[in-house]
Amino acid sequence: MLQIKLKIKLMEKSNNTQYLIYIDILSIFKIAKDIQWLTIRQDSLYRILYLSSVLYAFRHDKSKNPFSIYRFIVDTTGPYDANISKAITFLIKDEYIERAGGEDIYKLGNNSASNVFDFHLEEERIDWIKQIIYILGIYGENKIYEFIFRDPQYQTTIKSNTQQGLNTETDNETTKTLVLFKEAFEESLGDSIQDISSQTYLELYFEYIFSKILKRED
Amino acid sequence: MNQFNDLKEYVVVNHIEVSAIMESQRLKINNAAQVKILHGKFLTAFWKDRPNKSLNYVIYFKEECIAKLDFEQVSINLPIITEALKTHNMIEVNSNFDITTKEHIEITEQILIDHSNNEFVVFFFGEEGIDSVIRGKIIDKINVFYNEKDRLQFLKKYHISKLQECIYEYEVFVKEPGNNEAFFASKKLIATLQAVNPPNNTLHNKPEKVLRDNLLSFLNRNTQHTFSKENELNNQRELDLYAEVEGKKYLIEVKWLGQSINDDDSGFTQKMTDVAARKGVTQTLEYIQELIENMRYNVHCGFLCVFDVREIKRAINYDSYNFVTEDLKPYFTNHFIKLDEIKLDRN
Repeated sequence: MLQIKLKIKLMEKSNNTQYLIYIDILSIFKIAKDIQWLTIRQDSLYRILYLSSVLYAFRHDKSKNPFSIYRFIVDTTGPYDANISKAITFLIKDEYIERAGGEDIYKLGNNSASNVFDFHLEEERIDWIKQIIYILGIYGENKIYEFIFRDPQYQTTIKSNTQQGLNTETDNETTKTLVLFKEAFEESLGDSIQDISSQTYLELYFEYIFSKILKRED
Repeated sequence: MNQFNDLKEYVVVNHIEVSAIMESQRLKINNAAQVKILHGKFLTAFWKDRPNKSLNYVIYFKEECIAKLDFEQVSINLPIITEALKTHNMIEVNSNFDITTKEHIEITEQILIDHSNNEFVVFFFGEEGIDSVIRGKIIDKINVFYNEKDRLQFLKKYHISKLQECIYEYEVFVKEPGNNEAFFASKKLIATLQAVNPPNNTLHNKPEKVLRDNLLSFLNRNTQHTFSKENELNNQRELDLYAEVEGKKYLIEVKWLGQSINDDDSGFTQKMTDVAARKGVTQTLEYIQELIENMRYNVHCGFLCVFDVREIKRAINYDSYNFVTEDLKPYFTNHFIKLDEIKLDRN
């Protein structure tokens, strides 16, 4: 009975920002589980959602960014959004996610199988989160910080010495860098290859950054 | 913009190889997210764990399996494949990576290509890495920018658990001509300030910046981690170096003992002695406490790194750490390591 009441309450609020955040966080856990990434650190949740936001414009330059519900700032450990923090607290309290041993590490909880949250309502945003997680999954959770640190928008913001938030609008620094990356690649590859999708460029960019991490070049 | 000049150069120099990889990407198969994860996450780890990489083997499956790949089952079945590889080298699997066929044959390129032309996705595990063979094409690199050698080379770099060893190597590094000069004030200037018995180990003015930046750059080149410095953590305190490793947070406080040139080149600063080292311990502990208690930065370990640049080096008196106050003792016990001092002298 309680579950039904909660479901109705939440469905009425399906435009509610907080509801979307619950969906995003639970999607992260479910998609990660499919590729055997069974526990996720709290910091990783903020970072995955930040990357989903800041990379969206390069991939979908014509659509409105569905992740603009987030307003990230830089705090001591990286991208942070207070609403995500609240959402995590709620999801733990109601056992959709639970601690998995170790500090700030979580996995899906007892209630996660319940159908309170209707994922199919928000398919496009979940598909995008899936693409991000599949890219990050290749390198492993321990490398996410390395990518965040090297993210152009993140670097610009921390070097600016002001308290501004992380810009995830269409004109953000990361989008600009990705465009330059694509142009550099096209210019040097010439006509021998055409029609490389922006998704492929995104994956190539991550490979490029990872090669810098491996070769200890910055 | 010069930003991607290295990329352009790389692509031009490796034009044929890059084009081949990009061409193969156009095939939906190689481009499928599931194949990329299978190759990049599961098979790469599997390849890395094989002790004898000179024993080649092949794992292959029908293209139609791609959409149904169950990574949980893949994880469970890879050890079973390891067993089978003791006596076989050509293994066919289904979308759960259950073994459907196993043989021991002489593996040739033609066999791999023929299988791939029969709608199989073929992975060849060789000495240098994994080749994938799809629709008649052999792709010997998963991606354009790095290969397995790069990954193995990376693993040879120091891990944070070996930070002390890395610091020993740094102590050798700072002795080398070309590196050594960076820290010290000019002999000429020192002689004008003290003509008789000039203190040759006199550091530049505000040496903490030079020392920190030099150490930072060494750590970034020689460890597997990314270290950064103060204003990138928060815009407040003078934090020295910090890094995050496998979700755990580390910081390194840099201090020095010795003497430097003062702000207007008119003399030397006061000598930094054992007192400075002991203060360094307290400062580091206080900062760890502040980060853990007041901010979201949960420090796993704070290191104190002291450059000993004194003219005459004696053992530093840490007074058995009796000066550590009660409230800081838990941090001292659980979150603090004093690294061995880096002995630095002008050559």
